[in-house]
Amino acid sequence: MPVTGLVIQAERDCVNSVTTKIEDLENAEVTDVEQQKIIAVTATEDPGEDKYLIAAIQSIEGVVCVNAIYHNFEDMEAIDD
Amino acid sequence: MISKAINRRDFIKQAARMAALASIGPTTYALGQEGPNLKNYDDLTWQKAPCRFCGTGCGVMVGLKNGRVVAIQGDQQNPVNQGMLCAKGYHVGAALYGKDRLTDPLIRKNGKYVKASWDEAIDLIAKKVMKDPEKFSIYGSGQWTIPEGYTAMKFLKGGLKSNHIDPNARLCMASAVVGFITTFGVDEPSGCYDDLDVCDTVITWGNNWAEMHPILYSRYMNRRNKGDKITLIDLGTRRTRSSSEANHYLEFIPQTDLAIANCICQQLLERGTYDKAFVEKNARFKGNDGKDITLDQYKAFLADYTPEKVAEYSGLSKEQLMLLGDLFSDPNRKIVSLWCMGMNQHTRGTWINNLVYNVHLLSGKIGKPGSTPFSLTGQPSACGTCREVGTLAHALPGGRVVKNGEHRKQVEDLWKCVPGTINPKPGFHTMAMFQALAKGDLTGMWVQVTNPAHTIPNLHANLKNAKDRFLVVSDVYPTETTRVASVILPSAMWVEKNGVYGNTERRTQQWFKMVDPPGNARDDVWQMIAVAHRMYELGFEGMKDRHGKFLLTVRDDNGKEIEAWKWEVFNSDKVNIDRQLFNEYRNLTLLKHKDIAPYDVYTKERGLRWPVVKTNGQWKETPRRFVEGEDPYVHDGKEVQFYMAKAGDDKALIWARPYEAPPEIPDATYPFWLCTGRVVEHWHSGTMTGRIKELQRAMPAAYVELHPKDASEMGVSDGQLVKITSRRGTIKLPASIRGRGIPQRGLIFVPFFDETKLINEVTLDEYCPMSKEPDYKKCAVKVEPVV
Repeated sequence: MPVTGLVIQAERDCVNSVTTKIEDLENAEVTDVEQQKIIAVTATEDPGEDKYLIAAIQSIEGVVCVNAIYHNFEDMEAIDD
Repeated sequence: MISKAINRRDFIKQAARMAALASIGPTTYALGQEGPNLKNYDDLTWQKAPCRFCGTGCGVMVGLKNGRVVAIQGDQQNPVNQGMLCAKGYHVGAALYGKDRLTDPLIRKNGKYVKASWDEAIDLIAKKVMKDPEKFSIYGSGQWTIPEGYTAMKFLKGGLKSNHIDPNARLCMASAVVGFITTFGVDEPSGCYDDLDVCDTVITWGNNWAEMHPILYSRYMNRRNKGDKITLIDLGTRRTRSSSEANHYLEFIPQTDLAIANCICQQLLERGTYDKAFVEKNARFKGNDGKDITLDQYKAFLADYTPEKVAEYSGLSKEQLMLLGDLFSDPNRKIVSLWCMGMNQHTRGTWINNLVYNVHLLSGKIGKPGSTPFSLTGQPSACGTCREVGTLAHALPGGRVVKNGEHRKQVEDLWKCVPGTINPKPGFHTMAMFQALAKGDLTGMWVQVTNPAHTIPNLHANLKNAKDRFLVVSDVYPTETTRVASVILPSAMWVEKNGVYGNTERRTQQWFKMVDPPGNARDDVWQMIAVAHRMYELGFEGMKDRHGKFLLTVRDDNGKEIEAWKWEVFNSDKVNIDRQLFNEYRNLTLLKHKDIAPYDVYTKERGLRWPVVKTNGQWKETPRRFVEGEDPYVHDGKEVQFYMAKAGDDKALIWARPYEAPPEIPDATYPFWLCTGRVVEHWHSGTMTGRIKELQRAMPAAYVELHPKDASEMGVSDGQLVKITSRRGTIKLPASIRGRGIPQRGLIFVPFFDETKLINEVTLDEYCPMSKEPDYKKCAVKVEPVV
C-alpha cells in the first residue's frame, strides 16, 4: 500500500481543470490547492501502480511538473526473485 | 479532502499531505535553520541521509518504524534538492528490502556455495592474501563511503605495499579528473549547483540530465516554469528527454565534439570576442606535446576548425556552429556547460574535458556566478571517496600521488608505516587490472560495492579466467560478480551503517546508522579491518606499523586503541569507527586546499562544500572555488586565482587538442554506432533498483533504440527482436522505435542495467590513453532482425 504525497505545478489558467482531472483518477485525491500548486495524495494497492499514476498526472494538459515529496511503503513485501 | 485520520492508511495519507504542503512553503533554509518539524504530522522517527544513488547528492529524510525504513521524503533543508526527489530517490528505502539479500558469508567449495562463519571466511581470505600479497588487488567503488575507501587504501597501499587498487569510478569520471588536473593543476569542479539558479544558458555536452540527474534538471525547469528566460542547448548524438525542452538540439556525429569545441574557440579568436583581459591574467597556451605555445600559434592550430570545415564532418551545420560561437561571444551571457559520461567515456575523454575548459577560459565564463564548466558525476561518492580519498592506482589521499616521495612520506608518517612502505610505482588501473587477472599477473581480487562482471567492457575477454582466481566479493545482493566469486561476504548497505559521501559539487555529507543489516551482514569497513587484523595476528609484517602495532588501528579521541576488528566492538553504540577514520583522513586534506571539517560538524549540517575553513569560530564552506570572496585561499584583489596551477603562476592551461577519429568506426560489415547508457529507473547494473518493485515494473528489461528510418529500412517493427553483433559479441534485444529516446540515423542505443542482457559483451574496451577510461559510447555493430 504505497502512499505518496505529490506537489503538482499547473499553468495559471489550468489549475481548476487539472484539479478536476486528478480527482477523476482512481487512487488519487487532491487535498489542497495553493495558487498554481496542487497537493495530491496517491494510495495504491500495488507497488508500481503509483508510478503510472504519477505519469498519468504528468500527462494532464496544463501540468507543468510533478514532484513526489513523501513516499511511505511500510507494509511493502520484498520483491520476488 | 482528507480531514480525519480514521485508520492507519488515512493517517499515512495525512502525513503525505502534510509533507507535501510543507514543501511548498519556504523551500530553502539557511544552514542550521530548522525546517518543518516532521514529528508534527506522523509517528515515524526521521533522520537525514544523502540519497544512495547518483552523484547529485540529494538529501533524503528517512522515516523509521520498528527498526525498518518505512518512508522517504525529500529533505527540504538540504540545499541540493530543496525537498525534491526523483523516482529512484523516493524509492531508495525499498532497496534495502529485496527478498534475496545476502545474509551470511558463502565460500565456494567444489563448485557450490556453502554457508560459512565470519571467522572461517576472514581466516581464509587473510591466508590467501598473505600467500601472494603483491598479486592481490582491490576493486572498489564510487559508492564506497569515505571511511570505506580510506580503509581499503590503507589496507593495500600501507599493508600490502602495492598500488593495485582502483575504483569503478575509473569507468565514469577518470577523464574528468585528468582533465581538471591538466588544465587547473587540481581535481574537481570550481563551480556549484547554485550556478544553475543564476545562469541564463545551459549547454549539455552529450548529457541526458533529465534522466541521469533529474533533480538538477528540475531546478532548471522550476526556473523556466517561473518565467525565467534560460536557453538550453542540447548537444547530443541521440534525442532524449533532455532534448524535448531544449531550445536547440544539435546532433553531432560521435567523437566530433572535439572539433566542435575547437570550432567555438576558433570563432572567439577570429571574431576577437574572447575575453582578452581574463585570458592574459588567468591562462597560458600549451601545445598537444606539452610545450608552451603563443596565442598566435594557438590561433594557427585552430585554423582547421572554422565553422565551414567542421560542418563538413561534425553533423552540425555552419549556422549551428556559429550559434555556439555567438553564445560564447556574448560578454553578458552567463553559461553553464554540463557533461557526464558522454564526454568522459571517450577515447579522448581527457582532451574533450580540456577543450570545454578552453571554451570557458577563452570566453571568461568561469569563476563568475552563473558561468562555469561543470562536470557531473554519476556515483554518490565518486568525488568524495575516489577523487578526494584517492582510491585510484596512482593516488594517495588529498590529491597526493604515489610517484611523489614527499607525498608518500606524509602519508607514511600519518599511518606510522615503516618508511619506504608505499610503493612509488602506480598499480594497475581498472582495465589493466582485469587484464592482469585474466592473464594471471594478479591472482586475487577483493571487489566491494560494485559489479564488474556486469559492467567491464568487452566482458568475455576481460573476465576470462576470473573463476580460477581468488575473488572475494562484498555485496548486498547476488550479482553477476558474486556468481564467479570464491568468497561472498554479505554487506550492510546505506543506512544500515554509518557513512560519509562526497558529491559532485564538493559537498561532504554524513549520516548515522539507522537500522540493523539483515542476518549476519556486516559493514565493509569492518570486513577490511578484520582481515587485516587476522593477517597481523598471523604475523604478516605489512600489517604492522613502524612500532610493531596493528597498521589499521583505530583510536578514540584520547588515543586509546579501539578493538575495531571485533564485531561486537565495531557494532557497539559506544564507538563510531567512521568518525575516527574520517577524522584521521581529514589530516591529509589540507595539502591541495581540499580542507574538510571535523566529523562532528557534518552531523549537524546538510553537507558542506570544501574547502571548509574555520572563520571567526564558524566552519565556512566554499560555494565557488578560485573565486575571491568565496574561496578563502584566493588572495585579496585577485578576483579569480587558479592557485593550484602546476607552474605556480596561477594560470590555467588552454590546450591545443586536435580532433582524432575514434578507434572503431562503422563500416560495411558493422554499419552502426552502438552507444550505451542508463535509464531513469535503474541505478547502474540494477542490483538495487531491480529489487524495487515500482522501478523494476516500470522498466523490466533492456531494449535497443533504433532510428525510425533505420528500422523501416531493415523491416524492423517496434518490439521485434533484433540481433546486435560487434567484433566481440552478440546480443538479442527487442527494438524500441520512437520510444523514450531517438538516436540519430546509423546509431543505436542500449541501456546497460539488465543482467539478463549484458550489452558489455558487445562493447569495445579501448580507453583514453591519459585517463584510462573506456569508451562505452561508440563502437561499430551490425543490426539484424530476428525472424
